[in-house]
Amino acid sequence: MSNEFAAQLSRRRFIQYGSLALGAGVVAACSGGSSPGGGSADLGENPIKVGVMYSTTGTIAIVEKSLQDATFLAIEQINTGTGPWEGRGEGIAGRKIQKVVVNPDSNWDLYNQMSKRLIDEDQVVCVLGCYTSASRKSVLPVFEEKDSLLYYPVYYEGNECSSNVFYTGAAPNQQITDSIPYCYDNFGPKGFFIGSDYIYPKESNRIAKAELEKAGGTVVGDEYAALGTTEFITIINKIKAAKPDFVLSNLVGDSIPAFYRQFKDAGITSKDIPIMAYPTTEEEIQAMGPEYSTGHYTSFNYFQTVDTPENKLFVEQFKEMFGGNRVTNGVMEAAYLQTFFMAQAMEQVLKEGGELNTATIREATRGQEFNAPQGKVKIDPENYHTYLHSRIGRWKEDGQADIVFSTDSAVKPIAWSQALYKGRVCVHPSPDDRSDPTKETGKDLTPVFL
Amino acid sequence: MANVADMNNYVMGYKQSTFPAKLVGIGGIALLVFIILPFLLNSFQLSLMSKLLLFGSLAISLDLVWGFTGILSFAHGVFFTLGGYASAYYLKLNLSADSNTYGGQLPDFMVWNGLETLPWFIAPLKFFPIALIATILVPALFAYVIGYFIFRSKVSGVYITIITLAISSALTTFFVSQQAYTGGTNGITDVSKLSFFGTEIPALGLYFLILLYTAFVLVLGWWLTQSNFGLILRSINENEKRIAFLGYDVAQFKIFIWTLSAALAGMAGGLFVPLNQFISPVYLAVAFGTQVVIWVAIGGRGTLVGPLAATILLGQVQNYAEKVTQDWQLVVGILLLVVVLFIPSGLMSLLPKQLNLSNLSKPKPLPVKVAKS
Amino acid sequence: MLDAALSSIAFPLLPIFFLAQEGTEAIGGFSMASLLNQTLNGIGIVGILLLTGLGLAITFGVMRIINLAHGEFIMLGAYVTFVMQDWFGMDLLLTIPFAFIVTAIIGGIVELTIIRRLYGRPLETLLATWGLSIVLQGVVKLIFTAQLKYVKSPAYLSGNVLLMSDASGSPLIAISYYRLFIVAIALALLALTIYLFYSTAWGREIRAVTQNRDMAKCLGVNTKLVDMGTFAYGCGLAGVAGAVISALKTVAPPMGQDYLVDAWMVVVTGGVDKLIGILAGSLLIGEANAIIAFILNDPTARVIVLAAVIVLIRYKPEGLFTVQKRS
Repeated sequence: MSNEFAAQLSRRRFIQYGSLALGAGVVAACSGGSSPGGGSADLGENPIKVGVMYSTTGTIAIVEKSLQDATFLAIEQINTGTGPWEGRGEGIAGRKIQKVVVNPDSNWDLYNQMSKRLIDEDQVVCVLGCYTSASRKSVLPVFEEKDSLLYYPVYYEGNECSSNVFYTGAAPNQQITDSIPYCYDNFGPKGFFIGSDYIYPKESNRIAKAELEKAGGTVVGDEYAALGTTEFITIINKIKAAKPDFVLSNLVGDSIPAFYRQFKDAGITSKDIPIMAYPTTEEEIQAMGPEYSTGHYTSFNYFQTVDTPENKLFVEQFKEMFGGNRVTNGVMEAAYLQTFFMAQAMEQVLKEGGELNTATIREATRGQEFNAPQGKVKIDPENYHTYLHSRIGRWKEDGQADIVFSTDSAVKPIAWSQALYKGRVCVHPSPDDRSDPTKETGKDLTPVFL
Repeated sequence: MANVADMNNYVMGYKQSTFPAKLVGIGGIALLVFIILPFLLNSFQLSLMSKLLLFGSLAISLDLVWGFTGILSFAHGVFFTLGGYASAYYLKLNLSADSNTYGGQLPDFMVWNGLETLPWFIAPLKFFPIALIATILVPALFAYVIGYFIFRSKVSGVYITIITLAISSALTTFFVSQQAYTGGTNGITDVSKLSFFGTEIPALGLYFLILLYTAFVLVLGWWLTQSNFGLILRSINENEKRIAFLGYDVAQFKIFIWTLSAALAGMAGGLFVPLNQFISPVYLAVAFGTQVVIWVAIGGRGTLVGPLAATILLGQVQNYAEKVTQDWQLVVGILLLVVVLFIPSGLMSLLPKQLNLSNLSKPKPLPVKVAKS
Repeated sequence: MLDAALSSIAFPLLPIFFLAQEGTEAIGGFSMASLLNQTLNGIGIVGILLLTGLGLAITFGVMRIINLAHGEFIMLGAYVTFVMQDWFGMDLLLTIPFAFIVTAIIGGIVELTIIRRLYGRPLETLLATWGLSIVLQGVVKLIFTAQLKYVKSPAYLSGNVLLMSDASGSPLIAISYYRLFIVAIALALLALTIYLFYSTAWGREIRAVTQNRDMAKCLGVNTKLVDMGTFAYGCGLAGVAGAVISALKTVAPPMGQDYLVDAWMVVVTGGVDKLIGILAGSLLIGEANAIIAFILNDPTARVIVLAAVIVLIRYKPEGLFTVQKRS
């Protein structure tokens, strides 16, 4: 081997090792630059470790980032003793919350992996997180196997009864049961159902179909688009051809703005065919532009326009922390309120001199009440879902909702749709009894209010 | 034909003269490390290591086709997932009655989607031997059909890659849309644990099972590529026309290694489900297929050990990067760019010569030169 | 070449002509008029495919660069439009040149720093561009956050061309101005590109470099400059696509991923030898998608079309519209 060649070779080697070092440097620089959530704040002695698991990158980040924001606001308020935590001192009975933030990059595989890490390695007491049903399903075996707790802030399809999850979003009976008769009475009997192609929209539409048929209406079309689809010309043409009285939309994420825009672009106004949606909130409206949503409807537990003192404070403080142009929505409110459920439960355990673990927190969370922005809410001690208000909003030109229907108080959650599974309920006998909590009562259940 | 005989002699001579003592030594040490390792790890690290070993064997199986015959495939996640679904059906159908909310034998997602009876093509997977065979055979058969279709044509290079891209994309859409049979985007969740004659296999046992499988894939890959067969594969990569002139049926070799590789990937998927407790179309998607390609590229194509090492290394890097920054995939992207631009032959090429395993697994005389004689 | 393009328009329409003769009874639950309406609206899908595929037809078709970051250049174009509207209140149409220039400049820089080092190594290019796509998404997310962005569409392009309405006056066959606008822009860019490539000195240089790089170099062509210019132009076209689409779809960092596989399929189907192939490819895929999706549903249509493309590549890897070459 000639010297020249050797020299060249070592130069190449030098570049290679150098670039590796550079890569490592970049890793280090990035890590120094944007450490999540500013972990440097003084957390005092013996902080309580809580996992926060929302994707801030990838396709679902458009939704989950704001859930993370709302959670951060709540934790900040608890740690500083402000907002709803006013008068309870800094932290939970003197101990502050240390948030362990993970970003699963909208990848179900990483939700599973990172939930294991949070529980085993970071030893968090419980986890706040997840948005899609797929991500919840991917972490469920982890939480059940390791007997840890997940607070899940999202309206979902029901049919689940885990003793390791507190569901603080709407169960089917708090979102679908009231909205379908409303559509039937105000728009007409013919509904066209659309949704993203996964379990929540499909199951949701199946429940809605049963409700609509019970009311005397018919479903004239049922169409699904792959998650993340932004091309809706075919579905819109099918809607045109079927001439329904209303459209029920269970599209999620970035499909929502694309659909509303193309719907209007195809020349259909909200007077011709109004859209009733579940996942369309203030955030998506802001992204699509309010001119596309004016006159359409959403059924949710919370709107930014809900008139309570708690909500005024929440909206004000959220804008203060994250910018005046941001809006709040129902999922964010659920992410916000569930953090307080958790904090109240922890406070109760600590004040009674107990130790923070899954069993004690689960026991204390059952039946916990809180004056949330949407009004007074409560965790159902039997099925671990949440008493929530059922509301319908009509979107105005400014991107905010005119609330056209609201229950007087929060509705008791029912984990199973009664239109599909008559009489089936979820009752956890006692917090530590892990036997199958699904019970068949065989009876018609009447709505129960808080 | 004389040339071929020459080549065989030459190769056999080569093999006799270099008993891979060093390789066996290094392999033994590595194996020992992996045997001791789980006793030092917490349960999260144990499950992460198990997962990375499985992903590693998936990367090795891709390396067999990409590194040795030059076929770049984005569809290896597909084979992995097909094996995974076979094993997931088995575990789902073997849930004990009390943990199935419906009491019956029908999986929950089928009930939600209005199925009343178990489809005939899923029902047999309740039995372990059938499920085991299906875990290997379903991806292998699928790969065989595709391989037969592609390799017996003039399609080459980039176009094969684009076909695998289309397969991955089409199958993802298909699995998501067939919610009644596949569980849709959620995939198959809430499955039973893998048990051995009625006793549940603990996490540690699963780790050793996976370690055994990974070692098997590695040794099989090494043995294959060292043999005459491997030499022919390499020659196909070097000069396909010439090897065809020598009387070899190039397509047949490609189809064989492609199918074998899919079977290995499928079995890895099959082991993945008991570990991960769910399988979903996320592993079918182009993004996961690309991830596998990246492991191989960063580790070094045609080195077998490289892809395994890169998978474990990248998995750990990602785990730590995630702890310090939310934008960890930006870090991974930059790392990928750096490796491709400055270390094109992969991390294995950075090892000092004396330790270079890739050299050990590479027979010195290139077949092209042999053919000249 | 022209009748090749024409036949590709007629092909997907053929079944409809046959069915039309049988009268106006319903097909798959829908009336004939709805199906015709869908076929017409399929042109809207074709326009988007053509627009998003055009840049790739340059970077892959002409330069043979496997660019997996193509979708991210579309995304960059959309963000340029967003920024121009947000900061300066510009009309969407006015932002298009900016989208072109900015993405072209970024494309040029990428060529200079990354692609240039990898010519002749297609698989490395593929990996590098995948890494690049992750980096571009990450950087955009860092600057603009992950939230969806709002882009205002021009008021004068809202509304529909009504071709036929039923007895009660509600539209039966109509297509929106904005969809037509997308088709028009796509066709105009295709025409411009064909003109540039086949009738200008720069185009001749590009073709010379792609046909025989060394010979072109010997003849005094600055091949490096030509490479950079061509890649930048391809990226610029992707940027225009992003700008135009932003008003109809959504703007977020991962948006480009949606267009990547489709753009590839379009380019491969049409063939890369002639730029006109991309028109054929997008017409075939767009209309096939539209019609199958209307009769069955969207996911099924996608699976069928992808399977068809796989079969097509198997039998005609060089695409449908290629010049017969002697080997």
